[in-house]
Amino acid sequence: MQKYILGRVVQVIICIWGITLIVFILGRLSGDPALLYAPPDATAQDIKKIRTDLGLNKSVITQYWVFLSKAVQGDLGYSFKWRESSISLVLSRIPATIQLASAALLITLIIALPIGILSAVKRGSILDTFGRIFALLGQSMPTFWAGIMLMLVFSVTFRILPTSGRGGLKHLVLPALALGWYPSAAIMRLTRSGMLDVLDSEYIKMAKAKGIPHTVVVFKHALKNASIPVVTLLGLQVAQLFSGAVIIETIFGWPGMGRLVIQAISTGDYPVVQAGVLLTSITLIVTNLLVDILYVYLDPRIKYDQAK
Amino acid sequence: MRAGIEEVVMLDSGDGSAINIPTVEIAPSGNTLKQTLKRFPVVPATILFLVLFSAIFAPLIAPHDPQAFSISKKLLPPFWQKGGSFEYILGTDHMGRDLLSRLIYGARIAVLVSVVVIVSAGFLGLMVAMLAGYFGGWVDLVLMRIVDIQMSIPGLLFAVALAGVLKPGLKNVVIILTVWSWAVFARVVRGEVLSIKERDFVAMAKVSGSSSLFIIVKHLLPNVLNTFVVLATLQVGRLIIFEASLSYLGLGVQPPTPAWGAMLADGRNYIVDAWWLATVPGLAILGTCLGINLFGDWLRDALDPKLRQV
Repeated sequence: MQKYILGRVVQVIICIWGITLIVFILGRLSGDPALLYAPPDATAQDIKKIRTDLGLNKSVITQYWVFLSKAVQGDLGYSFKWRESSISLVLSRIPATIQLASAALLITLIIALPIGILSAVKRGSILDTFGRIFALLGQSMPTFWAGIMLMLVFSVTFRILPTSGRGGLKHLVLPALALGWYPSAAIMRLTRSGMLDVLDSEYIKMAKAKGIPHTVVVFKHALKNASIPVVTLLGLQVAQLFSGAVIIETIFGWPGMGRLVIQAISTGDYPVVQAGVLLTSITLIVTNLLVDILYVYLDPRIKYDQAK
Repeated sequence: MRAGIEEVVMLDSGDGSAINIPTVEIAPSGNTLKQTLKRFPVVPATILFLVLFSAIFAPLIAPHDPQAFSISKKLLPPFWQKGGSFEYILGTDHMGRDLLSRLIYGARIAVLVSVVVIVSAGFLGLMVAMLAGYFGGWVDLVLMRIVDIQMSIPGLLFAVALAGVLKPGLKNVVIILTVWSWAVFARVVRGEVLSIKERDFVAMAKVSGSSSLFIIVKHLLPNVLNTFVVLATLQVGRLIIFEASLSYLGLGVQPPTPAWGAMLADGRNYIVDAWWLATVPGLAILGTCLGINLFGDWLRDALDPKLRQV
């Protein structure tokens, strides 16, 4: 058990190191940083001085080492545009993204779990058909188009919700719905298939034969076992949420990290892009690590396998 | 169960001929060829045919030049709405370009990008899967860690960062999508290779002195092909959506070349005045993805039912 967690932690560290390498290479590919930092009227000598200051005259390996040791201290350079530490710039936008992502996650759970459970329990009913169509549409519909369509219906036609910006709950509804669309479909599908598998098993038949009430069988016996793959998928969906946030934030003018990164790309503000990619990836990796640990507690069989 | 059956077959057939037996995949239980064909998805296949047809014959079937603009004809609604005409069946955009023609030409980008990416990412993924799965040990360890790293970066964020470096354009969209999608192939196919290489016919091939390359090409590859084809089909929908996302953000194929995602971005800007601009390209993406996903589901049930969780 402890050995398993330790192994995963080592894996996570290697992963994060790999991402710093990728982020470093991306930054170097984006062009000569000295030219980007230099003011427009800089002379050749100024640029040479900036280059020395930034350590760009040293070997690439030394540069990476400097990048890495600074990154560990939370320094990924200054934003060219905002003249501010790129890490703190990204961090200042993260609460907005987390608010959006958690609202989307909440919507996902509220929509997906009941539909998934009910369509498995009442297999073949109208509700089941509805659930399956929903899952199929979710899988095939681009998140951002779902967002635009929601906007068309609720903001343009009925004028009940705002099209963009961040404010009260009203501003949150549409982007969260759009962002939660795809994960809802995926979670619903998995809940349904997981419940179907479990409901078909011997011990459920046994529980039913013993006369245990139907709802108890469904929610206590079946759901607990069907929830294991769902928890794993939920962890993986966090990646989906962060990815989706990039585009949903752009559509709805939500002042989060995704929109910041897109703006930074268009202005060539690479330190901000690096900070954004690095911070989100680390968040994701750590989330998945936590999910894996949670998984061990949920499913005693894993613990047993590791103990052997 | 399956392993048991194979052993019996091997015992019966005796010598070297047994090596080839498992490569003939056992048909999925309960599915005869006839039953499978009966469930052929007619509607999805028709949609896919239409998209392919539009992509190939775009210049012949498009009613207008997709790039010809005329300010006097801007934002004309579809024919069934007041002010619309049959000349522009689906209406025009903010520059007076025919929406239907742009939609038809847009299919070219979607098809071209997904075909090229599936081939290149599939090839890369297959190679990594074969090397990692067959050789195991540190090769497997290193390659799979790379897959882990790749998969733990949020896809769109990574693609966007890469697009910023590479400068937008068709070639770079293909590179970005390849880099983004090879890891899935590597991971799923490697799992398959791991189980196949433990089977007796591989062991026998090794004992009889076959080279690693021979075993990989002759024994492993044919056995993972079903999985690969199904996975590739199911990936196409994701690729189309991903390509559209990039072009929505202005990081995909550049204007004036029509791409569905970029058309949606224009639609977002004119959402109050022209609902059709934001709706129609989205329906095209949705229809294409539904078609390919339903077709892929059928293919999976026919060829490789155990992939159901992917």
